[in-house]
Amino acid sequence: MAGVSAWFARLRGGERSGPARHESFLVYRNAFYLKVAVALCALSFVLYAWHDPIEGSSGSTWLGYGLGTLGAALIVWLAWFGVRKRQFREGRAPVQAWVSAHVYLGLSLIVVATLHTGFQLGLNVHTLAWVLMMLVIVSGIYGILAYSVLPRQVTANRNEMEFRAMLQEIHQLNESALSLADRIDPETHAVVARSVGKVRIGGSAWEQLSGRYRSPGEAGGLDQFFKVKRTQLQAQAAAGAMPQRGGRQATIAFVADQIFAAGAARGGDKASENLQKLLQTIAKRKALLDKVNRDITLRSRLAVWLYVHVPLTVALLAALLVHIVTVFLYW
Amino acid sequence: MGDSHVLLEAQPHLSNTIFRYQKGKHVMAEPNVLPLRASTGFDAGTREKILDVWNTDTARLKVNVRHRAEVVKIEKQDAGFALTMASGDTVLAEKVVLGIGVQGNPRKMGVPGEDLPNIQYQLDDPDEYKGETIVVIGAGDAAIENAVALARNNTVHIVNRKNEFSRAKDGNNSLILNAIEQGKVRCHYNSSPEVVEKLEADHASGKPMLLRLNSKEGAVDVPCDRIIARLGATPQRAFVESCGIQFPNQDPAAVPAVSPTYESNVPGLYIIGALAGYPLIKQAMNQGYEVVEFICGRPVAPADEPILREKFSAFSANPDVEAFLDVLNRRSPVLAAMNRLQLREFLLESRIFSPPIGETLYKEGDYGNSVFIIVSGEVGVQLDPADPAKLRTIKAGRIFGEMALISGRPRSAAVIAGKDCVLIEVPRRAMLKLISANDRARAYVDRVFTQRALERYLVPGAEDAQLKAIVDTAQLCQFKAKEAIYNPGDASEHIHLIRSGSVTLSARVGTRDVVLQYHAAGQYFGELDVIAGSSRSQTATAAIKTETIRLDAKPFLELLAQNPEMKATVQARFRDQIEQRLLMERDPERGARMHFLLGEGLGEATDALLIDEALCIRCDQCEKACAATHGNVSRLDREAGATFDNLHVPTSCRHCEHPHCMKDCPPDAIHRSPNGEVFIQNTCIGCGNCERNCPYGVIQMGVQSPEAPSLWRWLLFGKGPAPGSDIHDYPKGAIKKAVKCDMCGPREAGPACVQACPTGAAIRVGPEEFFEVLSRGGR
Repeated sequence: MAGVSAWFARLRGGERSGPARHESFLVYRNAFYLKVAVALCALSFVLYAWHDPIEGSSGSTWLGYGLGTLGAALIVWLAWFGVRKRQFREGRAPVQAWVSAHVYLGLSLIVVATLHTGFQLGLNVHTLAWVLMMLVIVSGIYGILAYSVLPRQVTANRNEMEFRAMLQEIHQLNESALSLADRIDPETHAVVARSVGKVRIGGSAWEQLSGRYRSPGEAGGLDQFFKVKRTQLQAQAAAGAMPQRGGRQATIAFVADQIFAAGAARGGDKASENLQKLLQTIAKRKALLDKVNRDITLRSRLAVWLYVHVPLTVALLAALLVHIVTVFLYW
Repeated sequence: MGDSHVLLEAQPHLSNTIFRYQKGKHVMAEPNVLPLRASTGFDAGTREKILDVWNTDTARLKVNVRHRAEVVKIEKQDAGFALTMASGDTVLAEKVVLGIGVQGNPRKMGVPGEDLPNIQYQLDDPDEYKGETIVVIGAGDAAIENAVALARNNTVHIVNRKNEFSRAKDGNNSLILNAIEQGKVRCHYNSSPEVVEKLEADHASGKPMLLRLNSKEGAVDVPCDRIIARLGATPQRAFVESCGIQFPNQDPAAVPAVSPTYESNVPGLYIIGALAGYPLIKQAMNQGYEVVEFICGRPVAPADEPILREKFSAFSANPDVEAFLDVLNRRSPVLAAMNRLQLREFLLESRIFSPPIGETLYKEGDYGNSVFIIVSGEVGVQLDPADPAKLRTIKAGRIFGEMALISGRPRSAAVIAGKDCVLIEVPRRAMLKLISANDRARAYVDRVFTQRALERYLVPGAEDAQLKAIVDTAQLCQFKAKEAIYNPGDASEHIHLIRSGSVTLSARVGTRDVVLQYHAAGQYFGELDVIAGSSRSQTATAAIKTETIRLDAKPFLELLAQNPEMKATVQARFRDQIEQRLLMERDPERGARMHFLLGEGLGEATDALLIDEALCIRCDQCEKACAATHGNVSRLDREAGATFDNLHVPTSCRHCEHPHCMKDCPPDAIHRSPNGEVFIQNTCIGCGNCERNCPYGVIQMGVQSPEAPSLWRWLLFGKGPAPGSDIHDYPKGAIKKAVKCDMCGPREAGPACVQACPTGAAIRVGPEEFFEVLSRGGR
């Protein structure tokens, strides 16, 4: 209850706000809402076991109506969270409290709503509402797991680099690669320019989620090209340094030519050196691209469930309304 | 304007500082309360409007202006002064008024040909030039930024005297190295300009001039269209001192003392404006008027006379201001340390009041913005919150509240008004200005601070007389960030009291240094070794720029020897500290985290936003909540900032003990509330000084808008911005003002960023809670 007392202290004016340590929404206020949810489920179980209506358990006994009203109220309140978390200027309770309550009371619906049905499931609009609710809860469970596991992975992958900074660096590496290629020859420049044009960040929804991105074909193609280019450049250097000599060749002259060629390859051959730098630049870009794509994957996995959770909630609210109206219509 | 005069202006236009403002910039006319008495008009408005008024008035009043007349030397002669111009001309004058500001002149290349056209010392708009060959000289941030910006449309060379850009910020360093690597900027390392020559129109290069560089490899010729030299500015101080004017001390903020008629220590040489410590335009204009009247023997009452009379009217129906000032001067050592002009200025910014007996002047734990001087009567300090009746008296003439001012920490005890007391409440800025300009005032305040800190923390219950022997040994020591104060094995001869800054104590565990303790301003360290009688067992390092008051160990030990009771309390605390130290030594990870946080500026923070990245789902609710509660401009950047071991310090205000942003705010719009938050008032003039001065990059210039995006319209119809969006389409010509975290001020639910965090990843902590955060490993 330390959190609450801190908040009240703040409301009275004086002490600083908020908890002074990091605490997950799962254990917020010593998992107060977990305790509430467990109590609610236990009470529902006890009543259900004790209650023995003549016509058998169903939604139309007094307990059925009771659990149904409770369940419907919970669903509407849980859905309200979507509104609440965006009302930045209102309310006093931390959103974290709402999340904690949302998670545990939402899970308790599995028990409350299922007992409400009296296990009378079939192919009808009433069961549709129950199925939709269960799907919403399952997607929510994915959300809890994702929120518990993925944030650390995002941090580890980023390795203290900001997303914007990563994109900026990719851009810079592209420019460096182009300017290096420009200094080698037009052919290399054209190949690198093509590869720069093909750089893709992110991908389709499936690529993002699976983390398997369609290779833009750059790595393999470029590697091959660079291998050829390097042999070519080395051959050129050797050819330039070693003029063809026919006929008899004194040993001493041969050795001199070798030394000269080695010297030329070491000091004079700028293109070869640039190619080496270009290779490093491209490799660095590849590593960074992988990192960016991995980041996109992790963050899409963090967010994807909401694309199921929220639309299904809207569908659930509609089905719930139909369920309630029909029940009272046929009463 | 019948007086014989000449106005010497270095530039071809008047008022260079404002002339160089960007087009259309809004100029404020603070302070509002002060009436304008100069003969030329001045109202808040755009740069163009103000320059226009001044130029028209200067012409109308037939001011004798001499443009392009930079004065390089002022010599005192028998009958007056000889002023030598850069052109070699000399002007003779009986009296000289210096109104040259503090910005200084750009440093020139100092080579033949440096005055050729198209050699410039600043760059206003890099997009003005296209297709030129431009040489940028210098290796600092300004040179790098200019070179990179110009390279978009021009061929750019940069000339660096050394073989690396070590002086520049990290960001600029990589910027220029990249540009050089990519061939956008050609760099001449180890080179310096030798001569600039004018080229004939038919020269083969087609360029108007040639710069010859002296490099390691010999002379290098660069034909070019334009040379931009960014070599920094010569500080005005050297020039001012060469005129014979004395500064009170070496503090860069120090200004020369002037008499009530603005005369400096050199008779006949007057100083007004920013150089005399008055940075606002209106003040300087009034002083310009007054100084001429004084010189011509037409005494005027200072412009502040009615304001001061109003302040004194609480004590007399028709007060004589001069008589009151005489009385005040005698009442306190602090007031006595000032000359009349300083005193007037000081009182203008202060509040004189007489609180009823029993009124609480401030509470323990409040953040202090001001220092109090007791003019008459007395006040009581509540030493023990459990026993509010137990008060320690402070008598008339003395000051209180100085501890919070000097250390930047919250008030250490409540103070209650006593019988018949009359107080002067001095705002932080006025007090700091006094301390930096006046050594006597500084020494007095420091002495009081040392004595109170000793009484309160080191030897509680000691009498003033007992402490005298210790206080007499006090010496002010200054340390740069990361500088060692002492090392293991050094003799333990001193106790240090931290005046400002913070200090870490670390020890070598295995192969690395582990931080064991952290001391904030107002605390002391080094006493454990002194009491134990051993040599230093740890390294004490300044975490940030730090000042300590060093006290000799001997009189302290003697005092303990004489007072067994005092010795017992000190011993009890000694045991606690040893225990805490052992705890830290067992957990070196904690030290590593502490090291990280200190590196991120938490050593000087009073309240910082910390995000646990193991909980943060990157939803940016914190930023949205901030924007939604602050005129649609978010004041924090969640993603930016450093991370260590899942502990992330986002780019958000740390509410520093001594806020860097407050350092140079012309309208004095940045304040600290009693709860500790540093906030910017609406009187901000948008100059951007605070944005530049903040080392953590948490202040931005923005336009707040009053609209509140509708949640339901967005939710149901997808129309309009979502709540919490940053809105950037504000009316054209809207004035950008500085915005920064204000910790949501009086908001009942506390800071919106923390309230809106759905997972509990965002919390705000003060120095007291660092240990708690650390012990949980950041979660």
